[in-house]
Amino acid sequence: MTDDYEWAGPNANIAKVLDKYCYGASRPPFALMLDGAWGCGKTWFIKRFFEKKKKTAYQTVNWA
Amino acid sequence: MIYVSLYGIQDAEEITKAIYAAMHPILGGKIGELGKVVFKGLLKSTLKIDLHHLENGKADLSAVLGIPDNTGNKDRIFRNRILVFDDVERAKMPVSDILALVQPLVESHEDRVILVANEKDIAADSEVERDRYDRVKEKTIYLFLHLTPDIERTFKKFITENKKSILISFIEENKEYIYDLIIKSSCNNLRFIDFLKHLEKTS
Repeated sequence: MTDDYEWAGPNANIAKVLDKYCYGASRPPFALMLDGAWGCGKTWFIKRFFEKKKKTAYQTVNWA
Repeated sequence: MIYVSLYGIQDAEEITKAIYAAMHPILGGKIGELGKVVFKGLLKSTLKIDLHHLENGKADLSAVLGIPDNTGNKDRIFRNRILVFDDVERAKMPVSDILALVQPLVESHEDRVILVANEKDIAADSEVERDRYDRVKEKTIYLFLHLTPDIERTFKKFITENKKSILISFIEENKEYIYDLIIKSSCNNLRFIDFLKHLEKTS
């Protein structure tokens, strides 16, 4: 797993939290809300996050 | 990751159908067109979910996602799913109802649900519903992440990806000035930057 959230710019911390929530060991019984004004890139952000996740997953497969 | 936009969605059944379509992109859109028998047969053999709940146009979320119900259905094929519900504030049903739907998914500790919304606009037109949402949300939502628009990167990307026309080279030459204008206008809508490229066609 890479810690590279460069792509997320000012939202790198959000990407980190998302990562922990989705793939971390603890699984709290709650949902998470990604909040932001219209057009601030919410949909772009979430799609990009999972795109990147997919790519790093492929990398792990290749390395193993 | 199962991505579902709730834009204009009216009830739980529509959400269920949207999730279903997202999980099975080929079959999802064709529930009506394919014969129900064929459809059921296909699903049973390939996915092992009993989808009798989809009969009569009814769709049951617990059936689609394989959540164990009182009948002891323990067919959990899709464990640890990540569900993303986008445009939550644009759904045509009360958000408190959406949360009620999300609750059992996360309660089991197995599914991850990410709600994407412009939170301050949830139920903005109804004080009663807004109040209900505010009271209900803490039970279901554990963390609110506030996204900051990345204007600088978006603008830079816009210039490098569109370096073809007179308009774009004009923007590039004056990029500091234009960037300054965007910041000063405190326009947080990044779609605006993308609108710039359409200026050329209209002028």
